[in-house]
Amino acid sequence: MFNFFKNIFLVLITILISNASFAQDNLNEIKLKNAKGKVVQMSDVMQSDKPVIISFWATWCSPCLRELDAVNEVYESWQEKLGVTLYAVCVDDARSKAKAVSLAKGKGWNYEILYDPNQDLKRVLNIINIPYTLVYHKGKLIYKHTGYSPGSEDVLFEKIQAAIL
Amino acid sequence: MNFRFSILLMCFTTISMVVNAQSKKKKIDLGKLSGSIESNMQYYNKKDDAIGFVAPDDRFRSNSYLKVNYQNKGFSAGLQYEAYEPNILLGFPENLKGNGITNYYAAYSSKYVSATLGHFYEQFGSGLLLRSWEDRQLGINNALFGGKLLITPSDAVTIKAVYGKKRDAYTTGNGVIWGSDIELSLNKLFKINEEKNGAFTTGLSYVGKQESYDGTINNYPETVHLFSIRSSYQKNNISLNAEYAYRTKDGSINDLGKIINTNRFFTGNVLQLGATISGKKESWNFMLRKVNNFSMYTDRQAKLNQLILNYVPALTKQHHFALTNIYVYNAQTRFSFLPGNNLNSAGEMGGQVEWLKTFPKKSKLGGKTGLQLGVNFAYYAALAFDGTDINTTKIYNFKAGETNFRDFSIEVKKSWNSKFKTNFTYMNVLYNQNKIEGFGSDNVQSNIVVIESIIKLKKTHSIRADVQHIWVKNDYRGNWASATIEYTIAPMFNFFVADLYNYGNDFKKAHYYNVGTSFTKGSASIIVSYGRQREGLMCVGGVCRLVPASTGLSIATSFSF
Repeated sequence: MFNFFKNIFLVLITILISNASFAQDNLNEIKLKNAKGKVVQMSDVMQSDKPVIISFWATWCSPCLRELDAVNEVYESWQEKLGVTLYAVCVDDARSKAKAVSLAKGKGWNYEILYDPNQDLKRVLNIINIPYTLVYHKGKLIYKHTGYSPGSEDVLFEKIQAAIL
Repeated sequence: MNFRFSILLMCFTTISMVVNAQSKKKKIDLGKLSGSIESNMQYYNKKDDAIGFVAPDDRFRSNSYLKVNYQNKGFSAGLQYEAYEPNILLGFPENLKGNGITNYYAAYSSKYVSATLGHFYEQFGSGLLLRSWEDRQLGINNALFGGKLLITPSDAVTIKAVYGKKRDAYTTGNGVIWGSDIELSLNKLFKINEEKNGAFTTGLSYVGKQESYDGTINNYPETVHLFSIRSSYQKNNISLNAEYAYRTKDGSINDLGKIINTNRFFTGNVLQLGATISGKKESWNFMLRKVNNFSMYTDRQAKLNQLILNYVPALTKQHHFALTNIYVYNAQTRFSFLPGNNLNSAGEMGGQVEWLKTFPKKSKLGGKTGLQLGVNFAYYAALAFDGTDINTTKIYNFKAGETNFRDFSIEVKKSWNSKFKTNFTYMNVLYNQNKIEGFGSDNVQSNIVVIESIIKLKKTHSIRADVQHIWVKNDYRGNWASATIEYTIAPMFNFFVADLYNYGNDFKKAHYYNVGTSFTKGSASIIVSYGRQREGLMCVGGVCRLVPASTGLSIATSFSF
């Protein structure tokens, strides 16, 4: 056990030393598909001039659904005020893809829904648990948060507003 | 191993320092180092008579993971170090005990080609033939160790080829796997107008599996081939998909993991059909599936979640609450033999339909604030067969036998105003415990009611509370009641108290209480809790994981960089 913590300590030191200099998320050739099979290049999405929210969810994850329901209620006004687009990246295994499509439609979500069935994007971003929300603006990560509790969406709004103004 | 690991870390440190210095000087992008750390620790109580828990030898146990990735333009490399020290958490595979570098890879990707050497994750289509994946909560990491090639000559075509063995704890299985998958967008390929005619995609997969056999059965298949074809069509608000998979003849294994001594070998197949129809804020989802002897390991004698080749999970609704997760369907996708080689299951057939509708504000049912309604029905039966002697049994490819599982549920979500939301769930479940768990009644019946409410006190302060009850027939444990109260200060703090009370029997009544708190900031989170845990999926503070039964203190922490 001691060795494990020693190793973790070493890694943390590594990160502290190196973190400042490393470039923004380099998502290389990660491509996700939407329900119609249209290919979306994630590095392009993150370079957008307008702020972009990337929210990871799955049909079995109840806090994820609560978060996306809550944001959906205010999404139109966010789009007007912040020019923001939300990409809801579904990490469900492939069996639930059809369910995810119908869930999003039935809930009346107006997001861009993308599928990451092999969890490639989730893995590249080192995400452990969902819900996990990231905000990018002009290629820069401006906010990230794991978990959801009621009111988190207001904090998200304020963070984006503060970052882009 | 630790020594090796320290050396590796020092290398990373050096690389990163050099990169750091150089990038500051020349302002060039020399790549990115990233990763994550997760540690789940438990300190078990000595014993807890009320739930029949006795502490194992090592009362403090932990499962920890460190992942490090380096990426520079198209090149990437990484490793994962896992430590289950001083011992592994209860309920996880025992062969993981110890520590070591479990996964490592190097990959290069360009616009048209990407190649990986080492450990990688992959799935063909929906995973019917091949899936390699990680699920830490389940103790699953069956990454393929070998090589992968991905070719995308255009947006219309994706070709994959893989070769390797699957990871098993700190080593690999014996079975060798190879395969290829091609996915085509017919619209792009044949210039079909998508708006006018809809979107067509199709995919073809092949997987081969080879494992030597040195037993006494003549002509035992050492090499097995799997094929599948899938298609989907989408136009406006309708989408349809179909998939068929077939396996050549393979030997059979009984429920204790022993090879059955017979010269009769069986093929396997799956047929799966799905349809989604959606309107404005409304959707229907239909699914039908038949599975005949089609879940496989890369190694004949593997057990439970070890060395799984393909992915054929239960197609039922996944429910979210404590008491709705007691009787959960587990797909019966393979031949099941009792010792003595009597067949008692040949697969399953059934389906699911789900309807979801959001009644908008100011509509009759929606009222002032709108209302969300969901209805779900699922039914699965065993695939029928005549006789139980493996040498003469007749297996029907399209005939339902006894019922395995039936699930009906209604869910109503209502926001009364911006500060008060409620959620009502009713479920009726028929569960063939004997078939699914190997003991008990073949007719466990239950009715479940859940009422949940969320009250927003201030902008970031809120209370979530639920009460649940399950009425059970034909299970010795009987009825359960449950309540939870959760106080959250968004987005960082959460405090919770929960109790599940199994009161419906005379000899083993028990409270499964739990109290805890969580803190999250950025990508970091820590959850500390104390109590008794019934095995199942647990979600608190917006983070979900599967916890095995135990009593004690648990700390779960994770962080990514």
